[in-house]
Amino acid sequence: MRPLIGVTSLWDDIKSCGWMWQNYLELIWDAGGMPMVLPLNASNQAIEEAVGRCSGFLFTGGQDIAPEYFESKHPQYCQKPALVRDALGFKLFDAARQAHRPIFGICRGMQLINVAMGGDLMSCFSDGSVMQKRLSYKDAIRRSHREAAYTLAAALLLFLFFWCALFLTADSGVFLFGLPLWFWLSCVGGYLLSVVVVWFLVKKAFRHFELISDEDKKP
Amino acid sequence: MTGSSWIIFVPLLLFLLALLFIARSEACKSGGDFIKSYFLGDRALQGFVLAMTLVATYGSVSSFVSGPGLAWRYGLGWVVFAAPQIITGFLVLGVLGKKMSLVSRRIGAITVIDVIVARFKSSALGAFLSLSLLFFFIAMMVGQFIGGAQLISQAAGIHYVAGLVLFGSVVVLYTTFGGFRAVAITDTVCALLMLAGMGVLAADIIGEAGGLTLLMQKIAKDAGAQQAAAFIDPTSCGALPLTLLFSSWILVGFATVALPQSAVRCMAYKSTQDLHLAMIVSTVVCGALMIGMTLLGFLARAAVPESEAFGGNTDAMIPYLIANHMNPWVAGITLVAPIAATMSTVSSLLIAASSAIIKDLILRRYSLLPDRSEQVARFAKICTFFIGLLSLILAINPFEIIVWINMFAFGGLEIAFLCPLVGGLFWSRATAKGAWVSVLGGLAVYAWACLAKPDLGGWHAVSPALVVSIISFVLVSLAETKNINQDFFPQ
Repeated sequence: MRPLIGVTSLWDDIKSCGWMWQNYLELIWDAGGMPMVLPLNASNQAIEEAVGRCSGFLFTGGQDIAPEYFESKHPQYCQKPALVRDALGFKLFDAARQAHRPIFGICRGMQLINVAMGGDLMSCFSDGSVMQKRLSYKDAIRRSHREAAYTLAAALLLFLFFWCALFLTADSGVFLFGLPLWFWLSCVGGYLLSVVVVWFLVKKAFRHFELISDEDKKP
Repeated sequence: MTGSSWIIFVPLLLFLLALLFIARSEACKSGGDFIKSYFLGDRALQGFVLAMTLVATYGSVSSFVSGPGLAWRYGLGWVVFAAPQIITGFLVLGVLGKKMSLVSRRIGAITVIDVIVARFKSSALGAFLSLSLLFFFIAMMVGQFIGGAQLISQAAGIHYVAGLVLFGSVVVLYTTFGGFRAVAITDTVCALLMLAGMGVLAADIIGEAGGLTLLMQKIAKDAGAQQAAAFIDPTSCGALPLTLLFSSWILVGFATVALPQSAVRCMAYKSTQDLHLAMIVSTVVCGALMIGMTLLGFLARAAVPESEAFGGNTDAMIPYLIANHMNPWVAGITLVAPIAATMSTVSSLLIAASSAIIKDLILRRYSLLPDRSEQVARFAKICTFFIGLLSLILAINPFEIIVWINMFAFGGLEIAFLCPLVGGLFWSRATAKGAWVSVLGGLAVYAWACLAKPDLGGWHAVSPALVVSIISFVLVSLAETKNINQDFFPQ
């Protein structure tokens, strides 16, 4: 007897019906399993029946996980979610995991596993870049002005540090490794400080946003 | 020269071949939006490459030869002169990075001149700035070619012209056929080799003396008491006035924000992630290279205590050190670093000079349309090639005037571009007339200060020129009626 593998149904929002890709089923069969398409029924009893009978589960691909299930940074980019699948998916995952059933996720299925285990998801463009906050052109320009001012302030800070360190210790007469203290503080210290300052500038004062590209939208 | 003198060329030849190979695989393909691809790499630079191409473009043969040579003469005071470059790595990216990239994407700008023309709606100003850019860039390229060729001939003992043709032809070729993207990638390789060469040089100089403390003792012993005191004084006991040291915060610090060869990189990167990473990386690399190389020039006194050894010209100190104090393999690896610095600067200037001719002077005037892009592509490559060839030929037997212009080109570019570019980008009331007056006034004061050499109390000529330029820019702009450019300052 082949082991019974439960396969979660997909959901077609336009036709309002559950459906299944044939190749999921064929590949499970070829691998030696007996696939069984599970109904979109999230009741406790249906879950219990599925976990009791099936030896393993395939969580299939499909719509984005609804942003409410994790702390989505960009919920506005989520496509229309299949709430009925989400409800069933998370319940089934927890039950199957508790019963130590093997679980395999593909695409959305993998994302569901990640969210169910406490992870979150980042929206991604088709070219691989991470979805970014989209600002209006006006706001983006305003932001760029502020960051330019922060950068200038950081440079002025380094300028002041350099000269203060130099003037205050120029006559100290202290030497380290044969080089005077003022040199270590102003030149070497100034350099190290510049790296720290830029790190803070970039991590704390700068923001990521999408660089709006009008020229790419022209035909 | 010993029988094994050919060994010194092995790393150099491998390096040149590697550059050609890399440029070939990164070469810009015809078709698509050729101009955007050839002159701007499709705005697709990634963070690390952006940082490295910025530093490599900025770090030139003088960072490896002249600066260390002067540090040899003045001591730590010249390191103080070089120190402002701790801000150079991030300033242009942080100040111009986001605004340039937003604006250029909105108006479809490919060059820095495009941005200025769109800002002030004045193609005459754009044409003037393109011509001054070409003028300064060609002088700078010739200067780089001369420096690199002298370095090879002094360090490796081959004829000046042979050295020039060796690396000069390679850089012209890969820039011509590879375009901006190949320039950026080869720049990255060059920057890494510059770091490596500096590391080898440091290990050689400090290792030979047996550590920093011993090295400093040796320097103090070789020099007289008075000279030794000057070496560890920030002003070199008055030889470098404080006003000059403050000027360097303008010349190689704050005003570098306006250098067009740096600014064009601010519209070539892909995303804010890339920009942020690049700011950190380039700060780390730029400061390390500029301060490190200058300091090494001073520390080299331990190995080369007498100026008679290299003929009294401090520019010859580093080549002498490479040729006479290293075994040929190490010398070869060290020699690659300044040549990489030379080539990465030339390639960036060359592609930007070509864009000034094609995009700013020809396409704008005669508006060749994209349906003739095959022709544009061929023409752009021919143009790049001939500017490169011209600079090479000028470097074979340089006119004194070009060498002289090169010395002032860096400051001249800053004066020509600071108000139109940075002022235009961030000050909504700036006007075309203000920009004109600031550029002409600033350059006039600069030329006067460089030619007449008046006593400026130690200030570098760039300082009064920038003051005049900025004040005239503000006054003339304020005198005109307010007319806000919506692309730059959306309300």
